[in-house]
Amino acid sequence: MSISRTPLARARGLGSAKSGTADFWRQRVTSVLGLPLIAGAILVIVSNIGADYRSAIECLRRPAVAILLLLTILNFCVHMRIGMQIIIEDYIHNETAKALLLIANTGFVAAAGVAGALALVKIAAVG
Amino acid sequence: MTDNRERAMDRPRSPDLQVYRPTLTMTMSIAHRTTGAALYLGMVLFVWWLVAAAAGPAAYAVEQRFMRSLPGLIILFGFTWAALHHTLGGVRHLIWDTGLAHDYPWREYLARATLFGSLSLTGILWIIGYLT
Repeated sequence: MSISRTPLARARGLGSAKSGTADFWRQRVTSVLGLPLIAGAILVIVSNIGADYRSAIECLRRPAVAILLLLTILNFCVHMRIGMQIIIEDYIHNETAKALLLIANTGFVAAAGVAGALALVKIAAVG
Repeated sequence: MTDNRERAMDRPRSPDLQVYRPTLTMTMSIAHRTTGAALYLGMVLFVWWLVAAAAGPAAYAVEQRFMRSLPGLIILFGFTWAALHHTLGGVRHLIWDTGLAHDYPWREYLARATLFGSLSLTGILWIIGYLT
């Protein structure tokens, strides 16, 4: 353990990013929950290979499919936001660039998540 | 103060990647991160499919035409492998999180199983996709 860490800092256990192990744990939670979700999502995608517009809509509007894909998008948006944040923090050392990329990361994930979720809700509600 | 700085200069530095002899576990670690980053961008494809379906038959036809073109199929194939490889790599990490399989030869077996599993599952999925 580095001598530059004060006993108070060690007791707080928040580390240099000041957020402790919250992201580490969240990444594990979303990877475990992601296992059944990705399996289900692959089934849905494979069953829609070559599907025409009408049959794709009929599949996607079923409540079980809509719930599965909504959970999948939500789960992996959280997971990929943390993953990309770690990549940015590992390789980008300029503070301004790092801050801008972290904001862009949040924006990208939020945009993808909301677009996917809205599309699913729209299909489920009105076809 | 000067002393400390001089001592800091003498410290052994962490060698960069090209200094090491490449190993399978090292390559798999890099592959896990690379596939993760690729899947990040690949989320756009999945969302495109959903948004196109929600937007109507015309938008859906444009999306389907791209996915069935050669570039589209290559991207989809890569996406399939990346998803399966990152998923199995994630399981490997979860096993490590319990404290198991850190040692030789288990870490080697796990790395091989991940690679073999992701490649064969990708092949199986595409054969199923081709047959349907």
